[in-house]
Amino acid sequence: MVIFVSIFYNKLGVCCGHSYPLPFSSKNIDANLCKTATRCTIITTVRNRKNKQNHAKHTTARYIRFNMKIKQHIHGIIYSTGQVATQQYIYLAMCLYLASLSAYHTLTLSFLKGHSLAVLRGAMYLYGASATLSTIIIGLILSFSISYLVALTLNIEPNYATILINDVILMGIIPTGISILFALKYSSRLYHSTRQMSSRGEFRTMLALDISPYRLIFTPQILAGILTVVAQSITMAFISVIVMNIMVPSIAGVTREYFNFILISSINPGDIVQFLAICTTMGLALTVFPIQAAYAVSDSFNRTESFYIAMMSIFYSLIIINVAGAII
Amino acid sequence: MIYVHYFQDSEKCTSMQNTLFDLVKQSREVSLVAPEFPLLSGVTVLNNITLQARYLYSSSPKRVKVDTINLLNNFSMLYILNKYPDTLNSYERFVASYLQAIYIHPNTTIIIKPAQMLNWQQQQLEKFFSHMPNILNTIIIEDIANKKLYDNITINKEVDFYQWLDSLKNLLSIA
Repeated sequence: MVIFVSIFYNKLGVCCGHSYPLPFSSKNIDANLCKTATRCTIITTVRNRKNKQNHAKHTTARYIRFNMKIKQHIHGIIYSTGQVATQQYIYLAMCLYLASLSAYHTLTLSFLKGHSLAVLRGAMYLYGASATLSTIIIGLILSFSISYLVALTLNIEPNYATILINDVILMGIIPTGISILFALKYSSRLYHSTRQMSSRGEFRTMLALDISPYRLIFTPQILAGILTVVAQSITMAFISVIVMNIMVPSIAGVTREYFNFILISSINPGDIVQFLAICTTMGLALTVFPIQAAYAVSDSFNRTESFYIAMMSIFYSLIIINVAGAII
Repeated sequence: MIYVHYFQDSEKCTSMQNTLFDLVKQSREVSLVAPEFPLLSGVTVLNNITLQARYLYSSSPKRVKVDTINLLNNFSMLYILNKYPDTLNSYERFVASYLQAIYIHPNTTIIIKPAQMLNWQQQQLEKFFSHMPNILNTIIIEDIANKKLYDNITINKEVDFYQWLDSLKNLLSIA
């Protein structure tokens, strides 16, 4: 989790089009260390020439030189570790973490007796399949408007268009905007459906049948929410890329190959993993909260689940860190 | 055996309901059909009826489907098997709730205010009791104002609720 938080602190700001430099630069460190080490060496040489009898000072200089080498080595390790930690490998680790989390939920779901899977299917249909049309419509509108922006920029300054696609649009507006939009939409519907279930007394029915609403309803619904948000965001990202491929070259008056070159060169696998991670996190955070809220307002069911509180706290912390990172 | 208890005061009815709710939570030998316990709107009638069996006893989907079809055939209502509760009329909802209650074969079934659940329609009430399997102990908790609706229904005995409750608790060894 610490790794997870550090990743989000370091890297999720990229979703807003920023990249954070490390607090120190390896080049500067290397240069400074080299300068110091060289100076030490010169001093030592001069002193050795002038006063070879001064054995104590000679030993001290050797010690300093040796110490500098160790420090340089340690700094090198720290820097390379930091560099690796903020590069693509960590996204793979994050992906593994998310995959294991999903596997855990799926395994847990298999232990959920009764109709949890039926509820999951129903929720997937309710929040996912039935919203496909709106997903496509919103995706198209967003894509066309962004494409127009890119095309305009491409007319003015092609190099800037590359930056725009890479940092702002592909990794910024599309993943974050879409995932937040759909997570909010989904969570709003989920909140209202849970409220309705509560007001109709369906929780009372479940309790009368000795069935836990938490296991029957909430866990499948949360899982459905995450899957829906991720799937919809990916769908819309793909729509955006396709629309851009068709629309931007025609508006900007450049050849399609030229634009494809810009677009393809601006996408790398790490960005896609990062994109998935952002969507999943947003989905988790924004779907857990309304359920917890509906849970709390339910007059017939006054039990709090520590699991949900813990999850909500973790993911809202991540959101806050993301926002803070983006602002900084 | 069908027993009935007519209550005069709605506050007493609420108190009885709460008592029965606790009883149902204590024992799976008692099941409850009441307006306050609606069907789950998100799942079909089949899933609603077999909910408890599949959740608590992990019964196989094929087995529960066959059982549910047999039960619905008793009421000649197989057509509601895959419908959602929102699309059912009051009679169909009531039958589905009843089948949900009796699916795991409890010792006693309690039906609270059936007349209200059937929109005070005597014909539907009579139709339900004519189809109801007579293999279980059933007690009906009903408003005295609706007593006339039960004129054509064979009721075995009118009982006092608390006496009946004590005897049931003794039978099920519940404190």
